[in-house]
Amino acid sequence: MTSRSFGNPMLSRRTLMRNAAIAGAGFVGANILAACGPASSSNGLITFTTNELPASSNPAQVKIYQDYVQTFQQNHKGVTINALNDPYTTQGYFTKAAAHSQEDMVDAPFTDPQLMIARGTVADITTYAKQQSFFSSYTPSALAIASSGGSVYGLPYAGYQLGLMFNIKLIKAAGLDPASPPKTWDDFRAYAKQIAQKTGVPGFVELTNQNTGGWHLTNWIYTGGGNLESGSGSSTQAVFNNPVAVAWLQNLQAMKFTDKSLYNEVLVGYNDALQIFGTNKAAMVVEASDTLPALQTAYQADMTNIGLWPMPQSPTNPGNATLSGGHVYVFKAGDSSDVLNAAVEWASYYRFDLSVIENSTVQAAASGLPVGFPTATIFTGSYQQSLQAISQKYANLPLDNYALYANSGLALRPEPPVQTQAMYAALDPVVQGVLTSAKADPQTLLNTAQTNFQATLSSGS
Amino acid sequence: MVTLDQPALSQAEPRTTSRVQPLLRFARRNTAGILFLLPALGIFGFFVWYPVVYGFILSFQKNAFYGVPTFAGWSNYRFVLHDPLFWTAWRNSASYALYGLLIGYLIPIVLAIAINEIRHGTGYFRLAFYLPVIIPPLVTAFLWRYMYTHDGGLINSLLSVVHAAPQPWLQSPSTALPSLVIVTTWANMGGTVLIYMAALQGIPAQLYEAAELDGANIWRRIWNITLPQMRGIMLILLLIQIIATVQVFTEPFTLTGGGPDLSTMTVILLIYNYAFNSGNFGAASALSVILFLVLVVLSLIYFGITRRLNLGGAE
Repeated sequence: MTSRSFGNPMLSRRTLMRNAAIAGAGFVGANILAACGPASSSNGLITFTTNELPASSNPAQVKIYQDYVQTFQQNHKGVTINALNDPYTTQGYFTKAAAHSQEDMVDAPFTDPQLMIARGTVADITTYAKQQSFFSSYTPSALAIASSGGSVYGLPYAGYQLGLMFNIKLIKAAGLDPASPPKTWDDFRAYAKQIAQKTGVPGFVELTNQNTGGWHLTNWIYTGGGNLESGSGSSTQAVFNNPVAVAWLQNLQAMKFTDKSLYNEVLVGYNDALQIFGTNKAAMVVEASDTLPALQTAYQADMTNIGLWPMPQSPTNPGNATLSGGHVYVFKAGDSSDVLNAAVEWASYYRFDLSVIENSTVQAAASGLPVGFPTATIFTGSYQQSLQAISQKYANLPLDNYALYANSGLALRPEPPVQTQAMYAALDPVVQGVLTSAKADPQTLLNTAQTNFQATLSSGS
Repeated sequence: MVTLDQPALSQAEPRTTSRVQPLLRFARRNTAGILFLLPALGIFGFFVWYPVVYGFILSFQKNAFYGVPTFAGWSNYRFVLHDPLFWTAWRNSASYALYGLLIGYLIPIVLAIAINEIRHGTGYFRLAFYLPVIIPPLVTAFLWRYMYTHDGGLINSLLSVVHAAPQPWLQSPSTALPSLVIVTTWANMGGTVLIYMAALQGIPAQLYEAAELDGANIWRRIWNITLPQMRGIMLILLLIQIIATVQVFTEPFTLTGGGPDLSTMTVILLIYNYAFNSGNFGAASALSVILFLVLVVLSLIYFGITRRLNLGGAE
């Protein structure tokens, strides 16, 4: 059986098809190999990726960021920064890390560095970090967030503390005084009830979904002096099914079903809450001051109408505390020393260089972005004083609205260290449960969540 | 010993050669075809079969992908079977499949028959009902999220027009699951409607003509001709729907996150949470294998029925 010739024997149909198939297979293979290729250092050229590019909904911030990238690249010949807008999620990060494809430098929350260290997904940057001038100014608690066994695995750069954010107009319309914050859970409940009755707007919206229910429940437990985890490492025990948690959940349940002072929906995630509060559909929400820019840029919220109070404390067992968190840069395990050094240098330049911080603050203020909101302290000494001076010099926010929050003197308690996001996920149904049914028993819900989460802890995953 | 082995080897050689030669001949004759197939086979093997086999292996390992995996025996299966959420997830998935039958199974049949009976504008209705199928699932989810919003959502706003009380839809454990089924039905029924309509076209017209001559009204024609003629395709689609609904993920993941109060925590969502919230890939794989076995049983039933129907058709 011979194939039909087209005149030239080299171009028989069979030959043509075979060559095409080989070329096709080669093309596909080459593309697959190209896609798998590393993006790191070679021939003196260094490329690293980061997830921190600001969102396109905030073009002013994107422009400021890109200008700094350009300046850095000009001053560090051969270094290319490939920045993506890929906000951190625990699930996303660890999925990528499982395939060793996480970004070389990741902007992450304080909750996860210890898990990253335990799983070996982050690089030891002790050598590079200690060369930076700001490094010696870290508070011990800030340094501990991304350190283990004397080694440094991350650079915390911003801290927050949770507080009670409120809508000034609605507070006043309810006959309440913005200068008199609710000091206890009872006061808080009474405020929410009064707002709902006098204005018809829900007094409070609580976060419940996408791990935020657990996050906020942790904060409320701190305000009652309670704990969520005891022990450490493989012997960690979940202890959040305690009387403090039960008391707070009963309070929340009463606000929903007795006082009818809560926002109607049960499933409220982080962005939902911002939208609800930013569009005046609830008078109070637990938030940190670093959400003010998002409220302004995404929901055009009037910054003069927003105030912050310190967290109300338990009336019987005040913890005199609030939950603190923040942002930390971590770096990919397995990256070459050139890449790690370049990425740490970039972080040092963009987030910690006082002249850059001052310039970007000036640019942000000129672009109409909110400047000057109070943050949790993660530095000490002259470096911290310089940061404060810059913030106050260019502040365009009504700082008096946050004075009680910023000067509350409450202890800043870090988030529970072991499997934090998994614990929050286990606690979400508890908060949803008490907001779903007046008959739901907080103790039973907490016990179930404790069993579920303890199983995760015991599995050692 | 050596002398005994020698003949065996010499005897084996021609057999091997005789087995290999046709394969080589086949490969030589079809080189181009095989080369064209190779990328597809490679991609299919890498993205389908490799994950399936690797999933089985993972289910017997303690492996978070960040260190050296260790053999875990049956511990992942024990963990999954003792997890209180295991039964919650299966109960929810089964309820979802049941609601899917009540809501999602009948509507496409009714719509297909109704469109088939319409004399004018059949093309318009076919397109209208198929349109949601081409909308990306995430867009569908956000669209319905807005429609289900308690205060100011489209559905509750429409209810207020007729002075009906607003409903909690996704916000109550009793209504969240059926609300998700409505979304799934809306998003997917277009394809099913088309399949039913194709089946309706295959029913011999003389059956209806004879029935009309006998004075049968539309309901009797549907009951006595249409439904019996479509019985086979209805049974097949029923099983396909059950297999698909047990694997539901997108709707609960995007709209409820498994809430409120775990009322929409499905098996696949639990697998996702094991893997990506807790980093327990062993447990995630173990539950995946259990789900796989359940689906294998359902698929065998499906194949059995289609085979019987085909044989029946051939007879």
